[in-house]
Amino acid sequence: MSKYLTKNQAIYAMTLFIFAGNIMSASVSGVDQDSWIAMLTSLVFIVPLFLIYARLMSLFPEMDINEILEQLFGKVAGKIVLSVFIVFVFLVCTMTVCMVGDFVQTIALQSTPHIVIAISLITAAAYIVFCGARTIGKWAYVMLPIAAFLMVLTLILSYNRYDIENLLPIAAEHSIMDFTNASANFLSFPYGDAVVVLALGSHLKGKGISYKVLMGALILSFLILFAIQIRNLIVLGPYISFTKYYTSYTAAGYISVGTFINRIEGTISLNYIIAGIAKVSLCLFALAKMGSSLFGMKNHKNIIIPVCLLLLAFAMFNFRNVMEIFMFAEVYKYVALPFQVVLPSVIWIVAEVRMAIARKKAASAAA
Amino acid sequence: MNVSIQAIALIVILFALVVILDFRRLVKQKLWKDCVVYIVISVVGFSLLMLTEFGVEVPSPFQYILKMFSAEK
Repeated sequence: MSKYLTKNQAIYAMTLFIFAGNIMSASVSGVDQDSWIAMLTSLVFIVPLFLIYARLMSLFPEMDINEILEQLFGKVAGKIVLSVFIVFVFLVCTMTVCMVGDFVQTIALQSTPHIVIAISLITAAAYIVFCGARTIGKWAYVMLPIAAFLMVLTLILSYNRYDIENLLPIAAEHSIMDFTNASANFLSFPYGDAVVVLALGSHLKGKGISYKVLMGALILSFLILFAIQIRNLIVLGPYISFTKYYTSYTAAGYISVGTFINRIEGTISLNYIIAGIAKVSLCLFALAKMGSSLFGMKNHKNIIIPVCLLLLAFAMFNFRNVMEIFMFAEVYKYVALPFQVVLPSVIWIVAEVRMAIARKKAASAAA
Repeated sequence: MNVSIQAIALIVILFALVVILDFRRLVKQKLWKDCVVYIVISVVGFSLLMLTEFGVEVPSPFQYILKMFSAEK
């Protein structure tokens, strides 16, 4: 089986990856009824950031972040920067396992120990990663249409609960600082986590594929998340929307068409689980790739299971309850932005300078 | 001390399965360096899991981060 993902598979996998952040991002905007405006303004930051990631990948075609770092900074410094990336991706992966695990436990399996849910989630992700990058792509290719269909279904079925007045007053109660803060929230979570894509460079092939994949995923995921945000706001209103933990789930719970379409919020759980597995799989794949390179291992598959076990251990003691996860989500941008914005920007600048020098040298040698 | 026997049994079974199904493959291929990394990471994971299940308060990095930024806010 080819190791390369097709363009659509990569776009769908990244879209599901970003979509997984919806579990929490809907709740932590901080600008109430104007959160949809904050989402739009966050694009000002997200698009350049994604262009940086894409440019970095196109400068080093078919290379993973570990190879890029080694080429730019040398073996020792490259490995130091790589370990910083590993810590961040591990953090993202642990958070996702905790988030999805706590969601499942809170909503459906209250008596089931957290460890059982975490093991199930990690096992599913580990199996997909074992099968290879292309399997992640194929899986996403099948699952994203299902998730999108369920999302559209809840949008349509909640029509009788829509109250457009919930969006009022528009941009009257919040300052520019509030909007900037909310945009930073959206930037760091869920979009900034897409920095993980840098570890998948060797599985993308073709001219300009990184731009197509990242921009395609951005457009698709933005459309989905924006629609969800608007639905949550006009169904629940800003105050319920931001006091509830799982807003999409709560909004879907209001759906009642006649006497026969009720309790449809279960479909939202399915979406969260699908997206959660996609995000954990991609993070796990990136961790295995980077970890095996850091320790000089023969094959990235040899480190998948130990990483899973470590992930499971961290998922067990990192957060004591759901409240702590949501509290952490509020400060997440301070932790994540250096890894999502500063570090990739520095790498990109160094790469551009190195490339320019190399081009100059080549030109002078030819002359 | 709040010890969950079922959880501990689950962890032990999980690690036994890992050794049988995955680690044996590395030993057969004589990838000794990979084996060392495998053992170190797995032992750390196993220890953390056991400590957590035995009710020991393992310091969480997330808690420190949360405290640090919450104090600043």
